[in-house]
Amino acid sequence: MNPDDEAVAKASRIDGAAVHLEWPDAAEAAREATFRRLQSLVPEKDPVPAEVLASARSSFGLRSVDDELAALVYDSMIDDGLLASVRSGGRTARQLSFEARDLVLEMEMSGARYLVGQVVPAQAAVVELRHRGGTTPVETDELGCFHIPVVPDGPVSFRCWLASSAAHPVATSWITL
Amino acid sequence: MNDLDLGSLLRQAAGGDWRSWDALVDRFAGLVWAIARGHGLKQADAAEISRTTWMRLAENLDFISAPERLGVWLATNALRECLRLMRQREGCTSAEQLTESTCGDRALEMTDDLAKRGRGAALWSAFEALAPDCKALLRVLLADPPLSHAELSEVFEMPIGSIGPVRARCLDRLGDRAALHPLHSQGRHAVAGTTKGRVS
Repeated sequence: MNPDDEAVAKASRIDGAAVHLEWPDAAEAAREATFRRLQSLVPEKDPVPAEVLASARSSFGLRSVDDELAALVYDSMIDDGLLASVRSGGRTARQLSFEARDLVLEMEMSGARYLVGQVVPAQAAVVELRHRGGTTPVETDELGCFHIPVVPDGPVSFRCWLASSAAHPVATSWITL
Repeated sequence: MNDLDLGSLLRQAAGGDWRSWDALVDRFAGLVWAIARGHGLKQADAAEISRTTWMRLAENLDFISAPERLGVWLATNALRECLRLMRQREGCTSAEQLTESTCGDRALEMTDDLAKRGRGAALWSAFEALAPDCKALLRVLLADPPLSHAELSEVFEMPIGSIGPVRARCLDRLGDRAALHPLHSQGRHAVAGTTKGRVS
């Protein structure tokens, strides 16, 4: 940095500091005025769209009160160091585990949205893929393995009926894959 | 609305009362939306985050043990979904990916065509061009109702004491940039100088 630039930088630093030291109330007032103006702009510039509200309201109808919930307990995208993989730009298959009391659903989805899954402990079951467009039932093999050629966009949930049991179905949390 | 109201709304919704559910949606839809939009997601993606978050609440109505923390619960779930989606859309804005300097440049470029639009448009454009961390925090503070600083500190995993100062710093930066609009070329030098001064 040449001496002139240094002087400019110094001067502006001093100036900048002086503004805040001498008129802290003015700085505070300007700040809060900016915030209030922004606040008044939100309803105009970025309101919640009507269809988003409608969709939030209608999700109540998708409750399945008799299902046992299988919670997401592992998502490689989050649990394996989200930031590290964002920085390296690495892309591998995404692995997920959902856990209910007596059942685990393991799945792995490729970049092309091809999904393979398994019901653990291994057993025959019917897995219903719930998505925005409706539901798609898939039968597993006797080891509980199933696959879905292309997982639809948007929130999905997997609902699982075990062939050996008349118990309530197990449904995973909704997740956007 | 007080905590007791939230508690009874949750209980009644869990019992199947859709009016209570709608009341919960009306109260918190703006917050969930603000989390997604504050992270720079476009409308269609933010709509998916919102839908996923509300579906998750619907299925968890019976398990929300602290009704007063519903805002934090929704915001945290929405935030996690945002991070997932942003991870999927690699190359898209990630709070940690974009540096302040690239965002600053963008803000300066954007001011060029601001003269054509109104004051409100200038301020909103400057807001849109803020660094991701500033935008994410301010957008949630702008939600109606906003999260408290204590709730925000939990959702964003920031020390509670840093929220006020960060908010002030972001608003000052925004004020500087929006002020470029009337001053234009003169203002450009003034702000470049100020920025240099703060960084060194």
